[in-house]
Amino acid sequence: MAFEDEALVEKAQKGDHAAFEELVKRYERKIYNLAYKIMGNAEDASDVLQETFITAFRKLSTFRRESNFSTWVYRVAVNVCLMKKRKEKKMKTVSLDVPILYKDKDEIKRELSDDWAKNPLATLENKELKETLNEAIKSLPEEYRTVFTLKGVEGLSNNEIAKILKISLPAVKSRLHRARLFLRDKISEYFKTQETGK
Amino acid sequence: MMDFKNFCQFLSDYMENELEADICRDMEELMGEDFCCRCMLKTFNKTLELCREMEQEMIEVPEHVHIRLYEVLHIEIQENED
Repeated sequence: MAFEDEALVEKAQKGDHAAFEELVKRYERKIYNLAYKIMGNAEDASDVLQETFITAFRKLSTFRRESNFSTWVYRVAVNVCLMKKRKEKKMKTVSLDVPILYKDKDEIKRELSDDWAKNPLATLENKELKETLNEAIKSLPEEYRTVFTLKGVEGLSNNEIAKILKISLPAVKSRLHRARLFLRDKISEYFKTQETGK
Repeated sequence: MMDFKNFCQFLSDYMENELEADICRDMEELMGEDFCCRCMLKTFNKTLELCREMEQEMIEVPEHVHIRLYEVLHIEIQENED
């Protein structure tokens, strides 16, 4: 019978290394995917994966089991990602009070009227669109991408994301919404290019 | 009067299925009356659909990364025991 995370954590905190390894086994792929999406490349994702579990092992005794282990380990992983980004001085500062994109009213109106939702090319089987979406996700400002990734990789609730990032629930919702809006705009641009290219 | 920030919040709640059913229905009705809003809603929903589809594609941890992770962890455990 498989143990719940909580039971494994309890055992690991008492020095059962096999229990800790089982936790690693459970979250290895998820953390790797999370790191890959935040960092944007395999090399950094590998470093983050390693550092996350080393940190988790060292700090496991401080985990008071007030939240789920998953929330805690994701928080560790996100912190490792952000610290790595800061170290590499790749982090760009974006004010969270302003929208990602500024557009004039006419432009917004024009884009809003572009209904590509039923376009047969609006599918991930369309490699070009998939690539466009991938690039758009990579180009999201750090704060937005982190929230968007946490929501996507694990389908975490907004409350859990707020706990992981130590930000308010409205901030999570706002970042998530702006990220999605940004991606929608990028897809709209793609379809507009398709039309004008014809 | 609802400002843009509140509207975004409202729309976000709608997308997350966090709105009460009757408010949801009212919103869909209201947005359905305006062509631009209708397009916005449809393309926004489609974006979410594409994103969800993409998120389901999980990358496997490369074998050498997996091996290295366990090697490093075993060293850490060993040092912790010493």
